[in-house]
Amino acid sequence: MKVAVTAREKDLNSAIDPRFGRCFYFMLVDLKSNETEIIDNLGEDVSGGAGIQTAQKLVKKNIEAVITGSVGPNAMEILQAAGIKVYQAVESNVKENLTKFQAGELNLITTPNADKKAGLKSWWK
Amino acid sequence: MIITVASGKGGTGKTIIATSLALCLKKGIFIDADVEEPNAYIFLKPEIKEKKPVFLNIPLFNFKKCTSCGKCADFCQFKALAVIPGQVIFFAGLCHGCGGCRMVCESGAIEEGKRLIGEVQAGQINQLLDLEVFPPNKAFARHKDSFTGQRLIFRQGKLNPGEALAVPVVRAVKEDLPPKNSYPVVIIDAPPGTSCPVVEAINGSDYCLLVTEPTPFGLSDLKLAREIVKELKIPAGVVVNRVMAEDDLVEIRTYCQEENIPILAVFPFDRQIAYAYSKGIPLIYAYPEGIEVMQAILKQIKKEIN
Repeated sequence: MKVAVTAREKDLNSAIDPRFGRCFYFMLVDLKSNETEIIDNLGEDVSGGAGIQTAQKLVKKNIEAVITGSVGPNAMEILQAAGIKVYQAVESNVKENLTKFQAGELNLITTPNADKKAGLKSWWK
Repeated sequence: MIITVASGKGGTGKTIIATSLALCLKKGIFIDADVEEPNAYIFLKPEIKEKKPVFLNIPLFNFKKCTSCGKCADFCQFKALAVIPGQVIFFAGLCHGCGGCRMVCESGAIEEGKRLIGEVQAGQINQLLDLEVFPPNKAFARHKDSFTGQRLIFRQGKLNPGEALAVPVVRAVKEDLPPKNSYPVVIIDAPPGTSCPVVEAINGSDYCLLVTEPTPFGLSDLKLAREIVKELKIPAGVVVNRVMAEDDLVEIRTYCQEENIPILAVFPFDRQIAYAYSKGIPLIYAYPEGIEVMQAILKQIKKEIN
């Protein structure tokens, strides 16, 4: 199973990025082979449609689940149509989130838990 | 001669200047291009005779032909499309109607659809000197000749509430104008700000009148608006509105000198004008001296562009 985690930096010890569309990086982890891949998302450089673009990237990568903080309505629509499950991350690093995910301790999200453009606001904080 | 009235900052008096400028024409066209919130009609009280819908071209997908290759989504600069196997998700609110997706589709799976986003309304302004609303005064008597036989066409664009794309409506309201020889002057009231709809409103004009006010915000946004007209290579002049004292003008004058743009007129911060505004009465009726000022502005612009 291939899982994506939104991350602030490029390694497993990095804190997760709570934003989906505007996250800095994705850690793609193949849970069978333990292979990892890093994708630069550069979500902050996009003016609009960040969530859409990011969701599209994951669809192309054949991801089955994504672990992140919050997902807006547009991104959620694509992820659901593509059958990618969304899991609510805990405030910690990528590694711990993966462990919890494998232990079945992360909650599945099926409705958007952020407004449109929310990723921009969180950047302001 | 197309004159666009723009400002950068909102609330400087674009509309009240633009409408009175139009009212001082013998024959002309007034276009309200502030399509998100057109309000010049309040002053001009036109009789709307024609309404024309404005559509945006959108893609329609034929899933029998679609191969889910994803080229359309890759091409879309506005992220209005997402392709997942067997499906294309279209976000109508993000689509700018460029038609690029249709062009890059290799399987001919995208057809042209339409989405209604607004309307262009056209009519005539004909009750200008309604003496019951505007009691005659000496100033008007003096200018009686300039107002007799006046013919003014009114146009406005209206963007439907909730729509994000004003540009296509701005473009539509400026299209298919009556011939130049019968209506030699066109006054366009631009939207506030310095974004795409403003650029679309100003583009193609012969002259741009920048209305500002003596506040730091007014000057700051004047500079931004000036950058647009510079980029578009359109000559510009400044009108300063709501001036209380000569001192107010110091910074604006310095800037205009540096930029080598003329200050064409200065309007006072006047209670009469403010009152008229609140009642939807054009500036020149409350402030008849304005008639001569407007005529001087028009004359000066004519001189500058020739």
